[in-house]
Amino acid sequence: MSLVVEKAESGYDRNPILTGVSVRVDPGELVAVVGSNGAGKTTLVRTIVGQLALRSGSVTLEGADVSSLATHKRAKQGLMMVPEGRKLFPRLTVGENIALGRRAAGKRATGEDPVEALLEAFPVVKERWGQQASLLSGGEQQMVALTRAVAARPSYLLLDEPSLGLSPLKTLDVFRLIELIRERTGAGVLLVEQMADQALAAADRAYVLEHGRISMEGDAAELRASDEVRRAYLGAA
Amino acid sequence: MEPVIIGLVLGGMYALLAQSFVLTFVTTRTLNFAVGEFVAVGAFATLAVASWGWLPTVGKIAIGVLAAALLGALVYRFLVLPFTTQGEHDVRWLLSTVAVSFVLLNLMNNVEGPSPQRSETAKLDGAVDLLGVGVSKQQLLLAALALVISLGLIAVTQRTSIGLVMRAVSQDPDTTSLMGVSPRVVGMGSYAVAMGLAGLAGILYAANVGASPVMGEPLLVASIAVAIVGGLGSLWGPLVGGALYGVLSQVASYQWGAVWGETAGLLLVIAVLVWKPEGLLGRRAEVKL
Ligand SMILES: Nc1ncnc2c1ncn2[C@@H]1O[C@H](COP(=O)(O)OP(=O)(O)O)[C@@H](O)[C@H]1O
Ligand SMILES: [Mg+2]
Repeated sequence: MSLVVEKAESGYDRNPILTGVSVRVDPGELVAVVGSNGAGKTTLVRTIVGQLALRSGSVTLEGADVSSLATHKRAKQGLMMVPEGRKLFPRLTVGENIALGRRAAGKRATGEDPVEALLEAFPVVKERWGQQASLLSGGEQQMVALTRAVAARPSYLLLDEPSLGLSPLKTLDVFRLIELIRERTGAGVLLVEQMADQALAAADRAYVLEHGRISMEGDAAELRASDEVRRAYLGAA
Repeated sequence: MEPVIIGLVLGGMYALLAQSFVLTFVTTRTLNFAVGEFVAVGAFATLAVASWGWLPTVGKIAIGVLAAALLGALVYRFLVLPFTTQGEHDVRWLLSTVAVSFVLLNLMNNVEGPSPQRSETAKLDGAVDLLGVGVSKQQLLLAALALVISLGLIAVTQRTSIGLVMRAVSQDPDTTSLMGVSPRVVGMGSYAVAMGLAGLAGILYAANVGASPVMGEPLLVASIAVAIVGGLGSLWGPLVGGALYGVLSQVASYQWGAVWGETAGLLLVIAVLVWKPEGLLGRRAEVKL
């Protein structure tokens, strides 16, 4: 039982981007997809949640083919994405944003509320509860976006460049939060990042996406140590 | 004083239809240009059951409202939504709703004939004295309903969880579907409420002018004007726009004659479009990156 993307092809109008991408996330696993700007990372996560149509291939969630389901139905089945640029509802408060995440949980909202644990560890979200989301700093917005996604009780969580536009210090916070989310929710996480070093350090397994194809895959630590990855993505000479 | 009072009352009537434009616009970024025909649909549906003695008046009005609401939801699902799929610059829905308007008009002309039919289900007789000005109870009822319904809608959007979803959709429909919300259901729901309002306006207005296929037309131009003046993005817009447009056009026609009334109203629209194209209470469209 996992999230399995098989030979996915998708893109925009007359512009095919992904050409046969296969990716797999097992429950509780943290999987990184690294790749440079324009490699197709955002296209991949948007295809997985159904915001972009598959042209061929499939997406299966816990054994069930969800390729033809609308985005909101995939969300109800526990497939959540934190979009690139966070996409909080700018004129809703932090609390209202998180309430909308809870809506997606529906019947899956049983047991201990994982949001409480996050709020305790990162009280800044709670302190901002009544504020309009657009007034928050980039780092705070990312915290809220992650909390909103967790409120939906995801079984699989797709994170599109959570470090985008954040200072190194804030990026560190975000990665700590991702670790905590994995620990508390047991969700499988697909982490898409340009910041290859940190993503590979955090992940169990990883894929390298280049021009819409997977060029390498394997154990994250091994990839991080490999010459090819070091040269192309980690700035090593 | 008289033109001001009459203007406020008329503005209230326009506000009811303007509210239906605003409702579909905030949730779906589309406008139903067949609203005028939905006014007539509501009026005819209530007229059709007018002779059912066992049904209380409220029930007859409810049937008219529901008929327009149901048709509105269907029009959205099958004739608007399919024509919005090609991104923000896709305006094929504009043509399809105009087509709906023609088809409904022809249908009603064939079935009911063009001449107005008496319809007094929702008629209030008599007039009341407002600050020395006689206002027909019927018109006052329409204006009061517009006010009450607008305030009700505002309360719903601010305080309920359905309202929260509506506000989310109006800010970012793609992200709202990530929250497990079906954009199609939200769109059908708002079309249903919006066209139900148009139907209600028609039922009440028919008591004055009779039910006829073209009865919505004189209201249409003024309501679009009111919606634009107030701002298509705000539920407060129709109230403010209605009051301004109504008073201005009444005062102008009182002073300089009827032709000037409409002209003043349209000049107001042009002035707003020049100085604040998003409407007095609207918010400037955010630039998307
Ligand atoms: N809306 C779009 N329409 C057309 N092409 C797009 C669109 N969005 C992205 N692309 C193209 O798709 C390719 C992959 O983009 P993207 O998936 O955003 O890459 P990444 O997230 O890895 O930076 C790029 O060449 C980009 O120009
Ligand atoms: Mg991207």
